[in-house]
Amino acid sequence: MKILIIEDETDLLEAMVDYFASEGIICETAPTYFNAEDSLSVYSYDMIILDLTLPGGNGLDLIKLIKERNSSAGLLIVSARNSLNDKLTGLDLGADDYITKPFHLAELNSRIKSLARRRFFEGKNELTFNEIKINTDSFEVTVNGEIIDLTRKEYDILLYFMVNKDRVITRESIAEHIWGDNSTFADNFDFIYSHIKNIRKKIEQKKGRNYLHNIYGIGYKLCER
Amino acid sequence: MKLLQKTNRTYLILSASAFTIAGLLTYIILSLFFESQLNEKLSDSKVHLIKTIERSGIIYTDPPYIEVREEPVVTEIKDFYSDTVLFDTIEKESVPFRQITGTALIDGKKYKIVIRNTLIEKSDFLLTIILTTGSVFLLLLLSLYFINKKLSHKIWSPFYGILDELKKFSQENTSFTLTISSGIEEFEELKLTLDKLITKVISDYQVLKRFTEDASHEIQTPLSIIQSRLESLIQEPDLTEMQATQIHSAYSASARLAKLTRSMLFLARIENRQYQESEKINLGTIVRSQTEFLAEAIRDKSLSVEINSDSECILNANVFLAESLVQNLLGNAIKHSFRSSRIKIEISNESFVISNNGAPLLVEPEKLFDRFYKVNSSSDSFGLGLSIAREICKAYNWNIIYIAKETLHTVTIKF
Repeated sequence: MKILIIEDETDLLEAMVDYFASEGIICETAPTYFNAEDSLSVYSYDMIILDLTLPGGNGLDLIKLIKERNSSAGLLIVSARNSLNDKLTGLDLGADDYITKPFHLAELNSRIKSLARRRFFEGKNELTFNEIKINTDSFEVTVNGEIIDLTRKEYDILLYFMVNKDRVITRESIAEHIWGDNSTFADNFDFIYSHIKNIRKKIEQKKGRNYLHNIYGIGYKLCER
Repeated sequence: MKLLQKTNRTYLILSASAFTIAGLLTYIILSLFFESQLNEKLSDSKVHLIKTIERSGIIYTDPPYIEVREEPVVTEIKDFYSDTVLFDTIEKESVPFRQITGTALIDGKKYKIVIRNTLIEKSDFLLTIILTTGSVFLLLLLSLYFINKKLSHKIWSPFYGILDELKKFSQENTSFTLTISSGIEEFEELKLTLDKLITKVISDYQVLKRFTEDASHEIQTPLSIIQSRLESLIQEPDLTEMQATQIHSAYSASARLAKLTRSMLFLARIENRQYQESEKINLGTIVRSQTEFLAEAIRDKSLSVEINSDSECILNANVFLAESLVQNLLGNAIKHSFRSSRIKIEISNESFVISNNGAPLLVEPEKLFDRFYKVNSSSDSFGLGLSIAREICKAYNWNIIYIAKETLHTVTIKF
């Protein structure tokens, strides 16, 4: 997968590039409007992450360019402006998703992956981790070939882990992922604990192993160990 | 007091005192004038009488008007005037007289002469003056009143026009200007000054409103960097537990800050009316979906949620705002409910009522709507939830009321 990240904050840009690099994905970067124009006119990408506030031009104008030159690419908008109008205009212009700053890298990764699944693996969306399989079309989770019954939130959490496997996912990140940004309960981590407990239990019932490891109380990591 | 009343009252007091003084002066001047006239007349009469007696030799008397007595022992005295009261036998009452008393030497004989003339009764005189000045006073007052009334209506009409326009003023209306034009210097000046003031108020308000939004925006990017850097750091495989805990505490704090700026931004955006898109929404549906969304939290405290809706409640509002409002209030109710208690929600086409049982409230319910107000200062929340709820209600002119009766807490929204 080839990703272009258009972002003027070099620190943030670097953090994103590093994150994707550890996933084995190589990103190209464009820190200004003009760099972005250049890159877009020469290469084609599978995914484009676009920050709307760019020096040298309005990010919304870039969307038009992207749609002209690179219409098959998935487009995720990042904005600090957090303005609803920008979001609506962006989505109207053809962006696929929208994320506001500050965000968790795991969340960004999850969105990009979900976008990729929708775009490139139509009809056959399966994520596998050893004996655990998630089909994102039918929302079915199987362990050793047997279907396990998860609630909506448990499913969301497991999927979040599967997409971000081998990484420490903080409780904050999980809470925001399932409850949303503004929720009253986004700071309540007890629920997360009980969700994780339930997921483990359900996996173990089907003779699956426990891959969800607690990391020093800061969060969890889906990995073999 | 109205301006017209005030001027009328001043006129009344001023003219009343002026007229009293004028009346008194008239009385004094006229009395003096009459007295001197009468004195002159009496003196003339005396001269005339003496001449008549000298010529005819007849002692002429006509009491009480003319009295002449031969008095040999009387010493010559200078004429003097005095007032006296005599009993009038015809009118059968005391009548005031002005008299001149003097002596005269006629044909070698000494006479004492008193000539009298009736005086106008003082009380009658005074009454006449009071009546005259009084009626003039009343006439003046009445005409002044009507003139003032008519004039003030006309003169002040631009003023009332400006006032009416000002009443419609709201900081939200950025294009507000006064349109009344009177051509009268004072009112034009008033209008000009007010226009300046209005422009200042509007621009200050805009600056203030933008400030929170801008400040929150500006915080977002550095926060993203902090958060993503810490997130990367957490991934390091060789972290000791202590390092991990320290990184995580910095990470938690930045996440909290992120949440705070998000809430503040949300508030600012509702205030700035940035959620313009609205559609017909069914409140009942939203309540049910939010109850579903918060199901774990409800189950966790073994709460039961009872939803009653007599009639469908269809509102014209922004879906996101309506969801936030319901989630906010329901979330609050869940958080502050006793374990295993019941949350009741009643929906009708004019109101939404949510009640729960929790610890009694120790402060004025109104305080809970204040920004950053926390009943329990050690609580993790920012105290913005109910401020957001109220701001959403404000945006749609809904009325939100919080009533706490012992352990029963009720929030009512009237549409």
